[in-house]
Amino acid sequence: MIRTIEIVALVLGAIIAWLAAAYVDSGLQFLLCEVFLLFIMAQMWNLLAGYAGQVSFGQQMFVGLGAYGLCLMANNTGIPVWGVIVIVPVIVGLLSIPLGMVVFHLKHAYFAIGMWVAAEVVFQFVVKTPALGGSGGIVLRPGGEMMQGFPEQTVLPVSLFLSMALIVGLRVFLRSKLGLATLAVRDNEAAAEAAGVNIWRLHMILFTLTGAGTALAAALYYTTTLFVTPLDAFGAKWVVLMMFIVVVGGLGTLTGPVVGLALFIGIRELMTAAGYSGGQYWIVMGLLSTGVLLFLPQGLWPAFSNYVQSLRGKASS
Amino acid sequence: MSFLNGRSNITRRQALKWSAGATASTLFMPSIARGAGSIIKIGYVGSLSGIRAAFGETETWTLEKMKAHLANGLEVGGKTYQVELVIRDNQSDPNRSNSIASELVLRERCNLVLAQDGDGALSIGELADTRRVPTISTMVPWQGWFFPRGGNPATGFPYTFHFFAGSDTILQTFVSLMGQVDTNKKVGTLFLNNEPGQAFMDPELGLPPMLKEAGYMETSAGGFPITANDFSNAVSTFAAVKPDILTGFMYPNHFIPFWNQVGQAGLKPKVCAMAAAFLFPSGVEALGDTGDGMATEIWWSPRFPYKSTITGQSAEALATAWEAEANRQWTQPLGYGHALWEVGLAALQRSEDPTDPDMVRDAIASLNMETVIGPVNFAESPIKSVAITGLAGGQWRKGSGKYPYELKVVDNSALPDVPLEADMVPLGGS
Repeated sequence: MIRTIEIVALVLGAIIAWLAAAYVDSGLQFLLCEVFLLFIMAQMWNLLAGYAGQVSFGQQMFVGLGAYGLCLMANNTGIPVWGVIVIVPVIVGLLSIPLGMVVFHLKHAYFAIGMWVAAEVVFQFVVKTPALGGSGGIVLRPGGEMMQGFPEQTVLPVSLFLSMALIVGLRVFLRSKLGLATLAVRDNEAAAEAAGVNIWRLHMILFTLTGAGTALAAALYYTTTLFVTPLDAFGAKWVVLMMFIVVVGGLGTLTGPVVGLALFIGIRELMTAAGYSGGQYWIVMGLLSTGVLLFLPQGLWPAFSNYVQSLRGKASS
Repeated sequence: MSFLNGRSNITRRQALKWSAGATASTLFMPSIARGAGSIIKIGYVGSLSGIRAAFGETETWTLEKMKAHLANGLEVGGKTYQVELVIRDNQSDPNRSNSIASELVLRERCNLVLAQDGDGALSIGELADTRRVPTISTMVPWQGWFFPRGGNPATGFPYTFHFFAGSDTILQTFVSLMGQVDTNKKVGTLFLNNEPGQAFMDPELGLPPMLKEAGYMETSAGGFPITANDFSNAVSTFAAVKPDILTGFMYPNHFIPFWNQVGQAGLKPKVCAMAAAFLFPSGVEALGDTGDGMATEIWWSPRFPYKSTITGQSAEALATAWEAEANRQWTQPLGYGHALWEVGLAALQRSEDPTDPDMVRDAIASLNMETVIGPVNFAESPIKSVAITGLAGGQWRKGSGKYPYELKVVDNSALPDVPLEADMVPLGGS
């Protein structure tokens, strides 16, 4: 079960979250919101691809569903925004069950592309539906009123604490029976099945949870931007970001995405500050990920920890 | 006390400074050193590249002029403020527009944002309104900015403003253009099926009722998707009734195949007025010799009898300066890009304190000035937050000078100040 150090981490996370809400400037808060929400999304993709072995190119669908779910429900019902943010992931999670029943017929690369197609179908549906704002998008107006206050002052501590809780939660999960089954599937699917793991059920649970988690992060993100367009929310950039962060950092590890995220944000901020406009940082990202995949295919973090271990081995011998 | 009320202590810039080290901070963040309160930060977002790059073609040049103009600061009420410009290109991409919106509003916390692009303006709108960042936008018919954002004409928006002509004025101008040529009064219409296109073809508020009222018989080929490159259905619909007038809304890449198919079907229209297709000389030049006589809306031309409040240049002088320095023909956004800065700087100068968002907002709302594109009147506008500007009708004619085609003002019914340069002639010359 949960260990003392993990409880300490949670308490620390809560304290840092509270301090960040009180003392950080709103511009930096917005950036940090993005950082922690990207972390949650990347970790969700990691859980699905790295642990459950289901690489998906369509996770932006859950971002879009989270964003649109937030705006539609907040604008058209009297439920307060923060309540909506809790309800939307539940709905998206439920919706992903029938979707999973369909796309699970596809395996591996076919699954990845099938998810992409599913995301594109939802995107086209939103673009062609005037009631959803069409290609023009919709504005977040809870109950028809302009959003008041400073949402990032709430989103930041929530996303910071959620990130911390996610790491702790995943550690606890991987020690549980279901977690051990997941690891077994990651290592050898056929062997796991022979040992009695219900792979379909396991995949469905993780697919639903990661879909809901991604939608939650998206709903939190769009609470700070107040405006959703289909091209933005259903954009492939989301899944590209998740993949970059996870694959460069280390697929199937809990620490890898932290490394990948730090690299992504660091490169983007430094290059933008140095005057390279627009998406030029993507060129560096592309080169970096190509390099990592060529020379350290398991990712930066596993390579680094292996190296440290080999040093230790030498020192003790 | 200030420590406890949730106000800022660590800014993004400071955090970046710590993490990026001293080099980065001194090279890229000179503003930290300057005292707060005497700096005005103006954010700018425009489509400098991407699919709408033609709309931003003149912008880089305009921005250079403005940088030079503001290099020594801006005088407001006897006090000189340093001006920091935060220029962002949204690459005509809504994705980019959203991240720029949050950057300009939340991270840079601009005192004023100028948006030269519709996507840019829509993305930043709600954020600017809730965070009290006065924002002025242009370059898209005001209906396309006002209604998608859920605007109410009686109340408008708290901090965001827009000035441009209306899509209704474009249509009235088109109907007026048609009336100048002797035709069989039959009109074939065809529209790109996107949001502005739907507004143009609206059976109650769009072109159809206007045509009916003016005594024209409309043959509608309806809407087509943006990916279309074959118009044979529409052309055969038109071939059955042989209209003398073709009108609607499409981009140059649609018009070229459409026009070829019109020619193949043996149609010989006398008037062709397409919104958006002929805004830029390149759209007409691509038609070769058959481009002579194509009609379009003119938001701005060097013949507009106005002058800049910033440089004192007349519209003519502004276009001449651009043509001489950039060695390219003038385009309509040149005037609007310049006027955007005129409106923005005038608002800052008329506010008591340009760093106070409420004062800047009030200054914009009470503006009634004449810019290089003509009067911009927020103060007496029937639609709050919008200044509706004028529009003329024009026709592309074979050029006599340096450029293959020249845009002549042939209709001024919506903006009588603009002198007529020529009479509207039937297609293919008089």
